[in-house]
Amino acid sequence: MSTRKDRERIALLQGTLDLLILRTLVFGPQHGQGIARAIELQSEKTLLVDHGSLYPALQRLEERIWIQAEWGVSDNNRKARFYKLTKQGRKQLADQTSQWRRLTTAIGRILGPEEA
Amino acid sequence: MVHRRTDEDFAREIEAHVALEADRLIAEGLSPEEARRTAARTFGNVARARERFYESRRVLWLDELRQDFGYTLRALRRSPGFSAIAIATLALGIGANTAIFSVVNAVLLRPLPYRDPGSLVLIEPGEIGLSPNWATAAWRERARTLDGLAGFNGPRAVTLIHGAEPEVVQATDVTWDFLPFLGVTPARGRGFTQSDATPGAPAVAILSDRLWRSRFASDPAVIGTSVAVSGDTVTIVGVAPPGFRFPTAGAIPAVGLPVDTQPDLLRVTPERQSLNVIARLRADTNATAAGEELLAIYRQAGKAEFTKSLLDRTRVGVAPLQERLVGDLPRLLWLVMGAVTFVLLVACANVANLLLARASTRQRELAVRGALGARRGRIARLLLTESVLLALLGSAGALLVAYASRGLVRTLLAERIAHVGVVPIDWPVLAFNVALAAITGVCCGLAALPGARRINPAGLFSSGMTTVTSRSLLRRALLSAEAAITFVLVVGAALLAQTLWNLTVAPKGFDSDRTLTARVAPGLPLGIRDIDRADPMARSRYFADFFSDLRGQLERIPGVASAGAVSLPPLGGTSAGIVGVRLEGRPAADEETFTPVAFVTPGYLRTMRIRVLAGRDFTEGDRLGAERVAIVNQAFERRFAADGAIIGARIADLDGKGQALYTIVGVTEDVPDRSLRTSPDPLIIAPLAQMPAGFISWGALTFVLRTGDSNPIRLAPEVRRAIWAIDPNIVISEVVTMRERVAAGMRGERDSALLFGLFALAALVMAAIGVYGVAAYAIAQRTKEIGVRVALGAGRRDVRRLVLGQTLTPTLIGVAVGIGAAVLLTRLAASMMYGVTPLDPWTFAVAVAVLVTVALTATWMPARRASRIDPIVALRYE
Repeated sequence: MSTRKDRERIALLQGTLDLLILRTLVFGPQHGQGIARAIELQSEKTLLVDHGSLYPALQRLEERIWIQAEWGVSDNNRKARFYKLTKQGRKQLADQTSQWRRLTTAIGRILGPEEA
Repeated sequence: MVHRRTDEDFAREIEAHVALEADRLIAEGLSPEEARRTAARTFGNVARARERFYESRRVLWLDELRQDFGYTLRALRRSPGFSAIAIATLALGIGANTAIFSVVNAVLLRPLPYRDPGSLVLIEPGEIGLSPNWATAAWRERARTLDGLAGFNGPRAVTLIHGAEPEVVQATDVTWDFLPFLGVTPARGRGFTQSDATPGAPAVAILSDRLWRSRFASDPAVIGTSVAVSGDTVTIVGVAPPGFRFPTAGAIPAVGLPVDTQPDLLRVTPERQSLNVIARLRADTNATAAGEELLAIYRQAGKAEFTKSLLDRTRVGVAPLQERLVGDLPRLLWLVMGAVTFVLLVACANVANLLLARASTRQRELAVRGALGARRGRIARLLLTESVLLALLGSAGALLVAYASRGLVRTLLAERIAHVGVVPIDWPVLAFNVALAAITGVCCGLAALPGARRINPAGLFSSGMTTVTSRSLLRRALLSAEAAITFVLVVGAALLAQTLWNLTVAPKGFDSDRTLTARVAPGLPLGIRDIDRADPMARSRYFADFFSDLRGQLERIPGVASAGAVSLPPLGGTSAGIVGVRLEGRPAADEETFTPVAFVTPGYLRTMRIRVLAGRDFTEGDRLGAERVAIVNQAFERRFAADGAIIGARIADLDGKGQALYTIVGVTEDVPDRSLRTSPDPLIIAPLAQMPAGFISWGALTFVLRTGDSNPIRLAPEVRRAIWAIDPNIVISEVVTMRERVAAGMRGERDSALLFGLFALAALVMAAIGVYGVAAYAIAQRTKEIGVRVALGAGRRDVRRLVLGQTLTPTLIGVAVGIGAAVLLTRLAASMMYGVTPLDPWTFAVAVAVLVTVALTATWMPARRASRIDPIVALRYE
């Protein structure tokens, strides 16, 4: 099902998924499906989250103690594993966000104004 | 560390995810069935996600390691030929290293078995290293750099009579505080006390554990009983602990017969005699400072004893005990260690080659694994696991090799070290063995890895002949390395073998054929001891008569053609002599050197077949009262009478005060005195009958018997019986053939030549296997190509040449590299060689020939097989 719509989507760069997960969790605890959905919705469906890499990413973040997880119940009464930011995660998010901003600004300067 | 999640927990999370996604889709209007399918599809491969989760867990590597090991073990069992060769090769390589290391460990690394061994030093004044009693006393009293000292003298042979048969045992005299000084307590009985050492106290002795067990049947009641030791009645007061080894320093001549490492008896000595002195350095000082202080004290205390010029020339050596005990052995050990490392490198190259060959036969299997998703790192690890596992299996074999060869290793290397009892295979050796195996395994694996890396699934399945060239290049590079290392070993072995040969055939100035020797020490009867002070010559007269009589007795033994005795036998060292010698009427030689004096009975020179080049031999007429005469060696003539006219010249004391010592009546050929490699010192040979007072106070001479027996040791019991018939207290020791004495002088050379020979041989065998492997592999890989060539008209000779090129070229490259390496390395061992230069062109040429011959021989079989390849069969191949 390789539709046109799929091709317009951008696969996430290595490493950026971590940042987006952390950002999503700023608004409160969320489960994996919710995180993926939130990233897709907030990027207005530009970003495609490969669910296969979502869970290893969550696992990774959990091991670094940037997020914590516990089983809870979703809005529609399903059992799900909810992730929330830790103190370290919050600090990491701040660091990485400012780093990302500087990076994109720099790249933007080099690329120049968007051509028609 | 986060709480470890289980697989199921993760599986449930994914289920939840898919369910939540489906819920959302249903809410968007899809049918439940469709929603579930879409959700699952969007998630992707659930199994793969679970796999990735599983792999992210830390215990994974362990798990995989277990898998790899299990798999590898099965794989090795499936190819027993490959496994056996690889393991045997590694076992030999690692085993040789372990064996040599066990000696390095025992000799150089393990601390001496005494209290605070690091602070122990040996004090050696002057050239002989014995400290006179006044010096020992002065140091004890005044030296601030020392924290105590103790002395010993010996070991020397004594007779022990306990029961009927006299037995010759080794006794060492020690100061009464010697054992406590070393921190050794007797296992039974008591140690010595100060009162034991006072003059007139009853003689006491401590038995070694070995003697106590062998001669006294481990009887505890032996303590307090008396035995006869060389005619003295001695009370046994204690038994030394089982592990006690004596630090026999200085008592071991540089060349000579092996000295027993465990004196059977310790006797207490008053500090009246000269001693070997061991001391403890204070922590806040060093050997240099101690040497300076001890020298100052020595010079001051020695004023009453020695002339100023002699004292001014004296030095006091202070060296760590361990360093002095091992002597020049470290040099030999490191050389051997280097050689044995080379053997291991060859083994490594060989196993790497085998692994490569195996990797290529496993190409298909590895490619399938790759295609099925095994990561590249995982495949590499599989190969590494294989080589490490092989090395570990090899290391188990290596321990067997080391254990089996420990007798050989000890005979070759460690027997010369008195304080090393056994060469143990202990924890450091085990650790060394395992660590070496691990390193070896990784090295072999890494060497083979580039070959495995190139395996490309796609290429492999499309054609059977991809990637061959680069890998065979690697194999040939390994072959070159093997050839280079082997070449160095062969050159080293050849040089050392020539050294041994040159020493063997070097003119010695005497004839060692059919000759038996025995050291005979009669001791002094009490009567002589009493009159000693009144009549200084009584001693000489007694010895002269005794040995003259004994000589007569021995010459009557059937099979003995002639006999003679000497105080300084060839290769026995130069321990007695006079300081400062010149010829009367001639200016003194530039230095006041020590000139050894050997006393002989008539018939000694004739028995030894030492040629008298000028003048005459001694006769029975050269006795006390007649003119004192001497025969000198050529070295003496060169040194003191370079202008000739030496017969009739008179030897005088350096200060020239006293009467002339000797009139020279003859010149003999040079005979090696300390070692076969060094040219002998000037030597004065004088008749025993004219021996001045004060010489050889212990009165031991070495008898030489010229026999008609090709194995003269058969006469030994007869000789002992004849001597003990005179007096059972006479000490007979060192009963060996003259040949054995000469062989003992070549021990170091024989050891290194033998070891290098073994190593070179091992390397050659491995290199041959390597060459064979490369050739056979090349042919297997290129069967099709060879078939095409033959079909297109290539002759058998062309095919053989093709195969030979595969092995001969890398061998020659290796030999070229080896020549360079040998030029650099043999120089390091130049001091061990005799009569051959490290860069001897003939040796190098022969080594080249040996390697090329081995390469050709190893290639011959596969080449012949290749030349018989039937093109039809070859083209159908695969």
